Amino acid sequence: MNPFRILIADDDSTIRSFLATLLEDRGYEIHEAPDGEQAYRMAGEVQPDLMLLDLIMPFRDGFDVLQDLKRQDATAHIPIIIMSVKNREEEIVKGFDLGAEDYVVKPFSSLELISRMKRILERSRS
Amino acid sequence: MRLLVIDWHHLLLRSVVTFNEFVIYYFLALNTVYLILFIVSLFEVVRFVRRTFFSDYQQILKSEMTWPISILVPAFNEEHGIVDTLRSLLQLNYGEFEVVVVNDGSTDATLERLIKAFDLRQTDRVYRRTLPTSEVRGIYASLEVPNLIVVDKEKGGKSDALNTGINISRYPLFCSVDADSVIEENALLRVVKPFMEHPEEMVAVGGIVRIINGCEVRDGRVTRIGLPRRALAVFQVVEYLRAFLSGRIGWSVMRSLLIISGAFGLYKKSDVVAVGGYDSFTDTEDLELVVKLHEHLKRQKLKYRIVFVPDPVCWTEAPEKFKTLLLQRNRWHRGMLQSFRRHWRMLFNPRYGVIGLVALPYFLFFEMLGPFVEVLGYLSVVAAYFLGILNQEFFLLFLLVAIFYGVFLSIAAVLLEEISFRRYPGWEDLARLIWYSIWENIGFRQLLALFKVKAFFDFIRRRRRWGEMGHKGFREPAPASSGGK
Amino acid sequence: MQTTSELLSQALWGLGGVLTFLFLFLVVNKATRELRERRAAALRRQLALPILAYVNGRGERLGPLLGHLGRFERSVVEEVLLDNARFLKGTARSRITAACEELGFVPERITQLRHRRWWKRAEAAEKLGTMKSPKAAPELIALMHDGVPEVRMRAARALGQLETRTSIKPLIDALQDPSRWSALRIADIIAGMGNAAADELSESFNTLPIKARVAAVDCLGRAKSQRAPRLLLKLLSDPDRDIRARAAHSLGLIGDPNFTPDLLKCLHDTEWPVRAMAAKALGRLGRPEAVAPLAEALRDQEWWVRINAAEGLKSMGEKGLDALIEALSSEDRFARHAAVATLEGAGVLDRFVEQLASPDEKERETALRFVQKIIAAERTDSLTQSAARHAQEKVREQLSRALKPSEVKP
Repeated sequence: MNPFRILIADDDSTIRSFLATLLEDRGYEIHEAPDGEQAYRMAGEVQPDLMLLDLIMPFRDGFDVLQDLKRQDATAHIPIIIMSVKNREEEIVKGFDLGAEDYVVKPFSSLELISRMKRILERSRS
Repeated sequence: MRLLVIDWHHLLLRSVVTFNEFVIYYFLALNTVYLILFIVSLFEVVRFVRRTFFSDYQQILKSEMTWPISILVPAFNEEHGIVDTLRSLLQLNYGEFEVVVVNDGSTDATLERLIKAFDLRQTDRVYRRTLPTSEVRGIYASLEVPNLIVVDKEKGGKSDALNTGINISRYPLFCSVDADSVIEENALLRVVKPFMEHPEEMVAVGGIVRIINGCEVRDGRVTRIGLPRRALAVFQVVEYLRAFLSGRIGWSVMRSLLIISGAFGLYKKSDVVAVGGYDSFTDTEDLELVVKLHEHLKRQKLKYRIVFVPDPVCWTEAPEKFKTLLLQRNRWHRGMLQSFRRHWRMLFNPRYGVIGLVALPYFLFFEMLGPFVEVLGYLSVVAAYFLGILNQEFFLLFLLVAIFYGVFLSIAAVLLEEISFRRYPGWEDLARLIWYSIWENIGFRQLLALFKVKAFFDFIRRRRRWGEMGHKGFREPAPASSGGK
Repeated sequence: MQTTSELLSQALWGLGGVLTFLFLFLVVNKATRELRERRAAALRRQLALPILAYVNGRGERLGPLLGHLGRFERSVVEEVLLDNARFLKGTARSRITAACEELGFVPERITQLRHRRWWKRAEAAEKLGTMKSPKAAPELIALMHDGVPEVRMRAARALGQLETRTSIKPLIDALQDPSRWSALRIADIIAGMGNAAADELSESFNTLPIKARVAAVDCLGRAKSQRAPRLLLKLLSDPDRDIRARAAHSLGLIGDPNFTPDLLKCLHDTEWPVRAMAAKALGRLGRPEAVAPLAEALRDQEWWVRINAAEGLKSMGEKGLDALIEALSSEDRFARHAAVATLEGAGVLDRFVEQLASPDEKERETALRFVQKIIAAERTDSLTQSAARHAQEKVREQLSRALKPSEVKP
């Protein structure tokens, strides 16, 4: 079985390396994008099984990236979990409205995140 | 008859000598003030660096108590860069804010470009006309970007545009921004911090403006910081470092900050409205506003603060052509004279505290008189030489001391920058900064003094010309691919 | 002049010396800093793996995974742990706290709380807050009496992060002393601390000075507390108008529709901030019985009240929008304007403009009547633009015709 491919889009390198270590330990294949533009591009190139998307990123807002990915046939199927410090009602609602599978507020629990990811990944593989 | 001739000669000699002596004392006084300012600034910058922790800004970002901000962008014929500027403003790292663009009767495609880029539709937004302004032709909003408002109005000048923006803005704080500046992504968090720390007292906060020439800009964001190639621009970088880091911070600490750059400042709307908003009679409306605020608040005997955050927040274009620099400095100096004339009552008036007793006199004696003294000083040296009374050794030594001292202040500013913000991290940049610090004192400063003298005479003759800076267009994509845009 | 020349020479040498010193200082400072950074970066890369592995569940303790550590290495480990702590919660965060206690960072920083230099004390408080070890609570509480305001504030903030029961009381006490503490900032800290803190705040409310009470009311709106609503409802009749206004606002934030009757009473308060906040809150609660009173509030004297009422109606679904459409024909000019602006923002205007081209005659008539109301309200900018630019010709035609008579201005 091929390992699941995960794309981590966040401009904070500490979070990226934390998530990378967390997920690689559990056997996932990790790709990283440090800003909005690269996040958008790599989603198309890498075709991950799941994407972790930060909202506040240089060059392109997370919401912009989300919207564009969902509009394109090539990337619309990629499940996206938003991870952000923004925790206001409007923002969370907007995230789901734009098509995110889930919205995780920072600070987050790594165990919770793993469970959420597993549920989405298992569903997509079945 | 012979007696008269001797008297003239004698008189001339005495006056030249006396003037030279005056220049020397003036020089001593001025440099003492600079030294004090520098030391005060040094302590404050160090204290600031110690006091500031990263988590502060995270907290401000997340807190609901953080006040929302209206960003005002007056725009006149900015078709070239306005869309990029707005895109980067809308991406600023902050909780709740709106961007109010005021199209001040542009004759180019500014408004059209905005309408196209953001899918703007005309709306009938309700607002209060608290400040008098010229006619507003229409208000536009975007359904996609709910926190963007574009106001189209008749030409009325920058002050008028800003006042219109104030009328239309919703939030208790507003930030005035130049249409061609690039704002750092955390800028709002940084300048709002003093407001969060002293919410009742804080009235205005300024931040450090840096020069963008030589930096790589992509999508309205500075991607790589560098020094400009052209000498004229590097001189200005050194000058800005000295003026901001060792100058304004010092004044801010002494509670007499008089200049918040128009390129970036955060104000409490209610206080600005109370003093009548921005004025059109002046060429430097930002300076006039701050002086007005000081006057009003001191007169009301209210406890207040106007401070400077020693943190770089904004990047702005510096003139690279001689003529543009001349026009810019001419405008700045004339604006200062205009505000002075308007507020002369504050001078030496103990009612206005440190500002009336220290800051304004400083401006009068050193900023305004200074250029004259300097130019006349050189002339009198020449006169002394021709009159045969010049002590050449003394003069040379004095000149060297003056230059060394100037270099010391410039390099000290570079040092301050190195130990605090380190926006110019490379070794080559450091070397260039030091090199240009030396030459800034031999030529550039004297040039500026000449500009200021000319400005004074222009002021007397009341000539007002804005002068448009030819935009070099820093918004070109970087050489590496920039993706679809 | 002779001696002055000598003086000048000496000054010259002096300055030359200072300049050389400055130059050397700059260079050495920069070089050392770069070297240190490089070393730290290398260490960070090396140590990150075992640290993150531990944080994510490997092993009982971090110490054995790292082996012996020199002083510089310890500081890097602490840095890595704290860097990761700020975005984590739950098990991972607890493990970080455990590691900080195990490796001795907590006791070290606690000692540093008594350092001579104020910025060291502040730094220690800051770091202890991020470490979240309850062991630091007593010392941090003591530090709230420090002489330097910056240090006190950090201590308070750190206590807020600790979220221990004992932290609450000193923070509420701080609210009592407005000369030393910014009520706003303390309230902010308390608001982030959860139910227990908010409950305690409600209990001690009456002991607080007025400024603190105002901040406390805001705080209660944000925290989820059992006791807060009862207190807030009582405060709706407080003699101070700011308190009443904020209580109304906070009730809106909490969002229980049962608050509606009390808030409706506030719509008739003599002070406009109270009316404005009540209107806002009622909009949030969304009960149908609030629609008519809010429609009336559209005619209020004060601009804020009108705007909030309009926004409130906008978020109340069809009933609210209907009320706004009704308001288009109000005799009160301000009510009409507020209604138009809000309907535009809600996209209702667009909807009706589209409807002008509908095949159904009844729909067209409704749409036309709506458009005429807008025109009668004299707010035609948006319509004029649509008349010129709308995609459908039928729409443009109808709009232009409707707009014509009004263009003849007396």
